Amino acid sequence: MFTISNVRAVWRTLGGRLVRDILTVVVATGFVGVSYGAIAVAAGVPVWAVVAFSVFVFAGGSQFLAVSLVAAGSPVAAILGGLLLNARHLPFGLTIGDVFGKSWARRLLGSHIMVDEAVAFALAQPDLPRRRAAYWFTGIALFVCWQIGTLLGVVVGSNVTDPSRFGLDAAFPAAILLLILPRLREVAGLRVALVAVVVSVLAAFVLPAGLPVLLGLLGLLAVGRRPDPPESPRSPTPAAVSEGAS
Amino acid sequence: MSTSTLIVVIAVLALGTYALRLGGVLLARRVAGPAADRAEPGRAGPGRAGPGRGDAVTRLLPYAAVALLAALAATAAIIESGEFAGIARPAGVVAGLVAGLLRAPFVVAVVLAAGVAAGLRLLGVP
Repeated sequence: MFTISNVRAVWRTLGGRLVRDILTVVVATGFVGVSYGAIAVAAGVPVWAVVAFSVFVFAGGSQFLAVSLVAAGSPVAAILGGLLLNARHLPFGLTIGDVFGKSWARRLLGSHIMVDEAVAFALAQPDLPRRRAAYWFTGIALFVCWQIGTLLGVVVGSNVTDPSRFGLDAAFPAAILLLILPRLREVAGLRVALVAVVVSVLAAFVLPAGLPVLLGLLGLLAVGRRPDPPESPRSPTPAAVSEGAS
Repeated sequence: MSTSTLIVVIAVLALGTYALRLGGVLLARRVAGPAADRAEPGRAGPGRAGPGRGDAVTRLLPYAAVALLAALAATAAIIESGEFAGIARPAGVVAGLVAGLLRAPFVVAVVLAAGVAAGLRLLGVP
């Protein structure tokens, strides 16, 4: 369904520059996939599960969260945390529902490739045909790159017997922070993150793994009362957009 | 963790996530007025949805993601089995974060984080 002629049509509809922008983000996200795969197998999650998360869940942030909680022996927290993290897809669907048209096949397929990047690029387009092209192109390219990245990461991670020796244990938290970096540049986001960090770290000294991360949601109390929606100017740079393949 | 537990985790998370995605798409056709019109171009999140139902939820969801991920990163960086994880790991994480703040590419920042942690350990730092 993604043939050369489709690519040509997308190129014509979107223009070369936008296609290049999208591909840049897609490749960058592929590298996030590599770090996901490597970190997950290094943490001791079986290869089939690492790959299954990528194919069936296909939401980077929640995959990082789930594999680390699974590795820590907290399956319930992995499910709850992952679903909480992915709850934002509901409003995503509300805002871009029109790109699917009336076809059930498109709605069913298109929903699975709904990731931050696809939504961001689609919303940035001025009209429906371009919104459609941007959504499908970004979503499909990202899905493919995410799987390839995961597999590469699995190969890399499997050859590392002691993750800490190569600093892989530091790579994971760093990758997560980099993914939310655009949000940390705004006041409300930074406040939320700081409260979440303090609460969860303190809790981690006394509570079993998994719970401290969920307690981080207390950071939401720091959003502030005034309707101050995230004002990050979302120019789709890799750093700003790679908020997840999430 | 047993294989069956792992399968349940993957299945529930996958189905739940898919339900959230498809649910929004299906609801979009019911909610009065095309929601897309309210979304501003260039905005990834559900952003400024204007006053109305679900507004608080729409506003808080992106921050819930930030809170969860920040908590995850912090505990993973600082704690290991209920105790301090040492100095090398958080130092590496900070190095990666600073690189990101200075607009280094994602891969460079992540590799730097790993490199600093590994380098410090090589020097005998716990």
